[in-house]
Amino acid sequence: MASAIPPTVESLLAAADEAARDTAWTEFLKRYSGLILHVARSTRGDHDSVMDRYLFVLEALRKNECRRVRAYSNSGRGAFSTWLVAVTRRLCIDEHRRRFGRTSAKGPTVEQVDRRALDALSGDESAPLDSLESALARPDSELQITERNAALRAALLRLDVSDRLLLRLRYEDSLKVNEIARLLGEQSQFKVYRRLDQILATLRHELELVGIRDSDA
Amino acid sequence: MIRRFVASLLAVAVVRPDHLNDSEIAGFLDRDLSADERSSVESHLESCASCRSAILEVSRMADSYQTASDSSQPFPGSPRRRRGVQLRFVVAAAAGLAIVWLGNVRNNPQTTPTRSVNTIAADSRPVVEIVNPPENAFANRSGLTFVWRSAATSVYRFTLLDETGQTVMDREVSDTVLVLPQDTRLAPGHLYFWRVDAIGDGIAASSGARKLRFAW
Repeated sequence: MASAIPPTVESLLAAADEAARDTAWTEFLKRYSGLILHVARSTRGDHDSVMDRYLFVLEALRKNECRRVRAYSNSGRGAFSTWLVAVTRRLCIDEHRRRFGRTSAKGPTVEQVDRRALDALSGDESAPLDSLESALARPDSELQITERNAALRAALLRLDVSDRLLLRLRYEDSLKVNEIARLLGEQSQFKVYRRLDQILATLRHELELVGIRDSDA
Repeated sequence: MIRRFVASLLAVAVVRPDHLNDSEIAGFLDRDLSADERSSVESHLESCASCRSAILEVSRMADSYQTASDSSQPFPGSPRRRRGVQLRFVVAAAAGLAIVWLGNVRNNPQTTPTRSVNTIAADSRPVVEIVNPPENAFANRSGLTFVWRSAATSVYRFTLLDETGQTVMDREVSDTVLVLPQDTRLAPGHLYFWRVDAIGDGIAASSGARKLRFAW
């Protein structure tokens, strides 16, 4: 059961007949069409495309006596408005794919990911890139590579899943720390910085325990 | 070593076949999951770039919506978000956008209005009667004066929107006359919408959306 169902939504779901549902639907639209339109505009396309998606979302929400909305009332989590953003986004993607087929998502390039991770583990985010790249270029023996790989993998697996998620968000997804703080519900970005420091220190310590140091890199 | 770090991090991934549903995403963002559920979601997010992207997008959309409408519409019921709102503009914002959209649908033969579209236009509020300019006017912007009849309230909210629904001008006045300011940025020949809402306890009456084009 959703924690708090807005009265507008309750009225919509409680509507006994088609006339009552129409009235409740009008109120629902007054309350939420701005949000739906905002999400529709956040996705790609010109004005007509946005409006087509908006229409598609409205029809999907109204379909089968508001089945989707009813599902939220039965087992939904989070605020209704947050849930509605998520549903609208998904429906907009569905509508876009329906019309244009799937497109590949663009993420950061391997080079971007490497560079961010490189900066982080160097312990100095402002370090000159040249020196870091030259460090990368240093030849490693096969044995060293294998040992480091195994040690890192073991160290990473020993981390809490939430710590690994934090590393992902920061170094793979390249999110800003304040955004990570919002996503993870941390009270401040400084807490995220402290967590990152602790995680990286843990990784370095674990590597040192098996005889691998930063300077070996 | 650093490249190995990234490679190892990626190699840890074990992606479950399904993805987070909308309820899990909302619950995660609003801290409305049990400890076990949250751990399960975190575990999935750690290994699924697609769901991390989804959750990030939802978070950004929700935040940008709140930011964009902070003075006109609340982001209701969200425990993590601020709620500084002016309730009287809630209906105006939503209904205005919806009616703008309705106008677009009518102008666009490629889109098919449905019953849900018609319900958007349904508005049982008392009407603010417009004197000038007439509906669908092609007006000279210089000195254009909007005039409406009194609706027995002391404040009227005048809103001018472009054809995408973006607000071009927004004023609260106590009179039933408003002269278009000279510095209003307008594109000649483009379609605009305008409306007058009589503000009492909420919106006491409304003119509804009216169309207008400007000659230069």
